[in-house]
Amino acid sequence: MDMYLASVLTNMTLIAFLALSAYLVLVVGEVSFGQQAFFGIGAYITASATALAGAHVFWGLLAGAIGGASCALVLGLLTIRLSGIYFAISTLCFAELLRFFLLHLRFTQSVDGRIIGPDGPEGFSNIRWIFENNYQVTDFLLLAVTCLIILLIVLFSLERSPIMLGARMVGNDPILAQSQGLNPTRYRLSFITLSGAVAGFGGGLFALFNTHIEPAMFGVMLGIHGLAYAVIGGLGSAIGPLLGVFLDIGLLESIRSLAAYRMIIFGGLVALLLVFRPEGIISPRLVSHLKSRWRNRHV
Amino acid sequence: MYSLHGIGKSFGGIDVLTDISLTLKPGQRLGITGANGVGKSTLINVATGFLKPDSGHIQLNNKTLTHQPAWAFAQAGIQRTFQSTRFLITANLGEQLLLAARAPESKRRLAKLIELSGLQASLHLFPDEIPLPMLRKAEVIRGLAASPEVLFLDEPSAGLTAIELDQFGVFLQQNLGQKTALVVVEHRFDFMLMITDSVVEMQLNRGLVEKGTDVKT
Repeated sequence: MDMYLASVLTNMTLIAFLALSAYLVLVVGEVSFGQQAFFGIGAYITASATALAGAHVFWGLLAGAIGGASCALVLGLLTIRLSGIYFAISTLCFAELLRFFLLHLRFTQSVDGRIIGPDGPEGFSNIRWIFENNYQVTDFLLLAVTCLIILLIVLFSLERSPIMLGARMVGNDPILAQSQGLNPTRYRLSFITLSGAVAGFGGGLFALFNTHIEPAMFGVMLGIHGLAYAVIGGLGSAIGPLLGVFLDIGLLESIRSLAAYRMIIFGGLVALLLVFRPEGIISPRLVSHLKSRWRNRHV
Repeated sequence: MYSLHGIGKSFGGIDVLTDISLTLKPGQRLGITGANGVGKSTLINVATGFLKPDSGHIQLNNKTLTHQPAWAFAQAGIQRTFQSTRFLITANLGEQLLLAARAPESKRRLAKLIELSGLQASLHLFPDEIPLPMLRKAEVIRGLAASPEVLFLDEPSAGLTAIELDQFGVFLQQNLGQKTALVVVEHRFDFMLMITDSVVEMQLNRGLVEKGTDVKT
């Protein structure tokens, strides 16, 4: 496979984790501008676990996911009484707070003459797992895609269970959800925590693939992109955010003649979609409609 | 047995409910009438846990529910409908009804209720594609599926014609079951007489006043 294509596809796969995490928060009716924080936490934790502590990559990624989930749970608990714009602002503040924390985080070690560990604004260099294990770009792509497929299988089985419908009800109409015996707080906290795990895991993969991470990578724009992918892709299914990622990174960023105009086209696309398809391309209604048609044909 | 004891509720110094008490036996059918603004909807909201009373307590089978959240009321078997029907518009009706019937027994009951109501043809439609009389029935079915202790109907007649309301009343009578107590808040007296055993009137600052018990006979 062409190296360029492989690295674009890997990039898409990694950002898909971020978009899916934004999707999970949107499903329960909240907008988060802070998913990049969980992505960053996962990246730093996985990097520290593998490069500093010498842990196996599996444990490194797991620790990243757990780290992301715990921070998301804490943020969820702190913002339990906030919703709408107040929740959105809190997530943004949290993410910026974390970024400033990372800017001041210094814990370096010298291993074989290389400086390893977070070094303030310089970031975390020499995450050499990918070289030590002789991973080519295509090998890593395979690993990332496998992880993404496993995540999608989990999300799709969630989608088929009443849990997702309950979450959508909590997101659309909390009063209705309560009248159906659903606890909105529990749904919100679980989905925010899950979103933290997904972003943290993706961040871990990102750190391994990039071999160098720095606080500036986890700025607001990253989170806004993740959110935009979920919004334009649609909240009907986990496929929606993937479609959003594909449209932006797959079409706009990778087609070099378009790359210079990427933000203009992407911004315009978001505006158009919000006017003509406010629920995204793959909207909940579309999915519900297709599901019932499919069922009718097979009954 | 469901009961309200000395319920009081005020909004910004204006007393809406003062010392309201009410006891419902299984299978009892109670109607509540009253002028606009006397607090009928507030009473339903307090009785179903959507508003917290300032004083008094709420009990269901010797369990105190007063300070529980609304979803705990629903789980305990206190169901309600809304003045304007409330559904999730992004999912079809069938999926939503299934969400209300989680136990296998409730699923069977739901299937039977759907058949009796003639809603089968609407199950794959979205709530905003279904006519109001059907939605009212669907809302009642959703409430009845889990065989609740009490079902509160908040102005079910709103938006229905006389004939539709009559059909709705017949459907209610036939499907409420022995266990479920019913409370209807309504302006349409003919409808009240049809589906309730007794009617009380809610009056400003006087609470619930008996209004011709057993009006039927």
